[in-house]
Amino acid sequence: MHNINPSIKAGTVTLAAIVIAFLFDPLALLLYIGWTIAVTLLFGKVQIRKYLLYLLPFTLFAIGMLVSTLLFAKIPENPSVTQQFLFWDLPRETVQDALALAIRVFSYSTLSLLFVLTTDKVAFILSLIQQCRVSPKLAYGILAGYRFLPLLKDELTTIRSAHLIRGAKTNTSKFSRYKQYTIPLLASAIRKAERTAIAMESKGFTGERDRTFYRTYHTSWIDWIFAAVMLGAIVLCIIVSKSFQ
Amino acid sequence: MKQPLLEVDQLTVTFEEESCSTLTDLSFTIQQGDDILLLGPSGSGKSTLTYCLNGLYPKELDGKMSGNISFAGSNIEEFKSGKINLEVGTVFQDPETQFCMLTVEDEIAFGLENKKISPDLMESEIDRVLSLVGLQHRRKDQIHTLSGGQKQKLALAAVLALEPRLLILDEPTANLDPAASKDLVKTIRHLKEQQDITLFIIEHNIDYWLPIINRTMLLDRDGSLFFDGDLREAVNLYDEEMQQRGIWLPEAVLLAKQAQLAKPWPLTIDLLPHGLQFQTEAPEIKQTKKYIVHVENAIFRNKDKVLLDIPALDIQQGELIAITGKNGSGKTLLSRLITGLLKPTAGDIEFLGKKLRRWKTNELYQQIGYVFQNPEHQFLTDSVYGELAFGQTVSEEEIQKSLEEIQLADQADKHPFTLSQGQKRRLSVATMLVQEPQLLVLDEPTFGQDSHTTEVLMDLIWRHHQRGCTIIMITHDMDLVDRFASRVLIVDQGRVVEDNYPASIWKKTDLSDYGLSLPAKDAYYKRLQEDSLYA
Amino acid sequence: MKSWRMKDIVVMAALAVVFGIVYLLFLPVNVVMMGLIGPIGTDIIFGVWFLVSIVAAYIIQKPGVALVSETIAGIVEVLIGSSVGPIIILSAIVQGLGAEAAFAITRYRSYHVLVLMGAGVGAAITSFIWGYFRGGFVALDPSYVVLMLVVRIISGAVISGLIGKAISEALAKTGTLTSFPLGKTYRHRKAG
Repeated sequence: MHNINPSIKAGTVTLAAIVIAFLFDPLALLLYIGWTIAVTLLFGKVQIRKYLLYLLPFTLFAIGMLVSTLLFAKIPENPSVTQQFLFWDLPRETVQDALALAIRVFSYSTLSLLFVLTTDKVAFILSLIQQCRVSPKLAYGILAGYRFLPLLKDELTTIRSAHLIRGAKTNTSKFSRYKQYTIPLLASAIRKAERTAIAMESKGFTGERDRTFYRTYHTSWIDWIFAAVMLGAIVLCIIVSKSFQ
Repeated sequence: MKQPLLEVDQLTVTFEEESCSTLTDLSFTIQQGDDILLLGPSGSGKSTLTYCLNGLYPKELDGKMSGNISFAGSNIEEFKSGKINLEVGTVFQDPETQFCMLTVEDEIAFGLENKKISPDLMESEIDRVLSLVGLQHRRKDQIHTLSGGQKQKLALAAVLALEPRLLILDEPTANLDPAASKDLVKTIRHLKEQQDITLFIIEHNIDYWLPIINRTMLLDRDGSLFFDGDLREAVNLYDEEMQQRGIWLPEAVLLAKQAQLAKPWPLTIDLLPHGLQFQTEAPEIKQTKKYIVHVENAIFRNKDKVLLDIPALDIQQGELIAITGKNGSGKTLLSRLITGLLKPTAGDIEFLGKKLRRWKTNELYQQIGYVFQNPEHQFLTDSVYGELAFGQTVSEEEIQKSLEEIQLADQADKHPFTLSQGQKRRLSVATMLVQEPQLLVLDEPTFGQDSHTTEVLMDLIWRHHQRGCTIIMITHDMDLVDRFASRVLIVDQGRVVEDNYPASIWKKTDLSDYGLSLPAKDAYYKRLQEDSLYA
Repeated sequence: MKSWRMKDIVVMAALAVVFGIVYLLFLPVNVVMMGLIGPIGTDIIFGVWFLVSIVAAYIIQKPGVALVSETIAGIVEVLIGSSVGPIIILSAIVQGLGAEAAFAITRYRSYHVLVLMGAGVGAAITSFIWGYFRGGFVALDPSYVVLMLVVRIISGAVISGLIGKAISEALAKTGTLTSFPLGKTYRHRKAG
């Protein structure tokens, strides 16, 4: 799984998510979720504990979707046909729609984790240059900016303490406090970015496509089989689900 | 005569927003094998010159640039985009912002790819440059796991991979502690032995580079050249001018001046004559016996790792304490615990006889000031005046007085972020002092500052100390410690390993164990002692 | 793209990272809001998601910045390990197109507050259409869906348009933007 070409993996996952957007059959979706999880755990060599930890916030999100859709659903065409849901009797249509939606959101999460947990970040960006013709200027610029993430997180903590010392908390509104954090953080990020851009150009980086690569990424038939299997599995899930109904 | 490597002819640069030129009518040549040190007051355009020499200007410049720069006989504007950077390599001062990849080997490869080197040759090239700087063992590691000094070595290696003929080092030690700085200099000496490379070093700390440089250039405030030649000659002819402009002199020269030694002055302590005497006013020790901070069995843990372990520590009111030690030893952590900015995992810390956690946050920080390393983090308003007036019941006159103390009276309306580095630092200290705290903690207040700002700051801090403010100062500068501190704490691996008067520390402790060195005068005394041993 | 300097791009990426941190801080808010008042809770704060587009476009003032900065933000979200996976890049492109449209209409000549708000509205509309198909708004009460759209448009205009403008101008005051068009206009206005 880790060896699948990152661009193809991203494309497959995205395409699968789009197809799922037009799928309203809860059972088929559930089957596909099971499939995606199985592929991730079996071929992705992801620890189950780690996987569950990552999945937890998404589960909460899906439950939120479920509840809110139940509460704000459109008026069903047959309100008399009801179904028991936990303790309440609700219109069957509403329950089905809500369940389908929550399950769909959940299936996006599993697809996302399939990608996130099995893909090296640098590999993804480099493969975008090599397979998707993304401009090196853009791609290396993104990597350079991404490097700031831990620096800026630390900086945010320091700014908080520094403001605490100055008694900023006592006499300002919440909004101006957000501003007091955001502006120094952005200013520092922009200056870092300018310095990094200069350092990159000082190493002879021109942003042209004409360069060599230390790490090269290729596509092979395995990648395409992966794409076909992942997408084909959706069809399979639909068929299996239909045969049960 | 051989062809010069680089020729600069009447270079003038004026930024769009400035009325005066930043670099003014600069002409000089660099020969193959020169090892140049460029000194200049802050704001004299040293970094601007860097960008001109490596071809980033005029392309990236918002402003005007006139004059000529040629490399090996051809004008640098005739080089194809990116090509001049392969001849003139640059290492910048901030080790954090010179990378665009996540691992050590990828970062080196980035330059090799720019140079369009065949991928087959990259493996061996990466090995070669990493071993030049002594980072072979970190090849596969993530860059963020490296220390500041190692990052700077990586930046050097990434530039060396381009095989430049001229190497510019733009304040490479500005963000490194003394131990890491010396290590970097050692690496560059080693490099000079391995290959023929010309160095152009911009620095404010001369002492580190004495063994390497063979030529010195001095820039004036307006960005014109006022000296080009031998450093010994510079310090003997222009010592007053250099000091007026905030340029640090070598420690040996400072000692010679202090001892009123006749010129010519030598550049290193080893060459000072015997028999010099220096006044030592040991700071008086006030025994108030009133504790301001009391630490008992405080431990700070991150996951399972003990980062700080302080069985007992008392700080008396009126002390001026210096905390010192290697980077990453726990100095800053200790200061954050004492001030309640971080909570200990276990144990208790009292401030003015009351446990920190029982204090109300805003009352506590009326009494405690803390000056962070980066002054920008502390600014809350959009003017210098606003910073001093913020949240405090201070009168108009007091604000004016404090503006004058830090020499910013004519900048009162400016946005704090637009000040120079030294001005920002002075402002951040002043914002803490206007509230007259009982305890003031300063994290490396003079680090990277020119001699002028250092004097203004220490003067300000000293005056408040005289009025009874207890001071805790984190610093690597042992001369500063020697002049001002009444007590020194050396922190190593999360423990306070030494706690004594400065004079006793200089006599008894082997400071090199902690990446530190003696104050200049004690280094001189030590040398005399060793001389007499071998005599 | 050819006219972009390297620092334009790295600055966009850095902005994307900062706003990425802001988004992360807002995620729990989002969940709470949704729990309290349903999907419309998301729409109230949806403008936060377009901030980067408007701030970057206002600072750099070049064609394509609104679209590309939002796209970069999407890619950075994937790198950070975002919830939604690579499809967020598509969502970002859709939003970015909406914001870009507003600037394109003025032919990149005006960065008036109304244009900035228009960009927020544009992003709100395109993102809503995209969300309609992806999120299954079909299942919701149509009048509720209309209300959601209205709320999101207001959020786009206010949060991303107005607040985005305020943030950019506060930044210009710090003198950090001297090499960007917004910093230059600010300096000229101050001098003039």
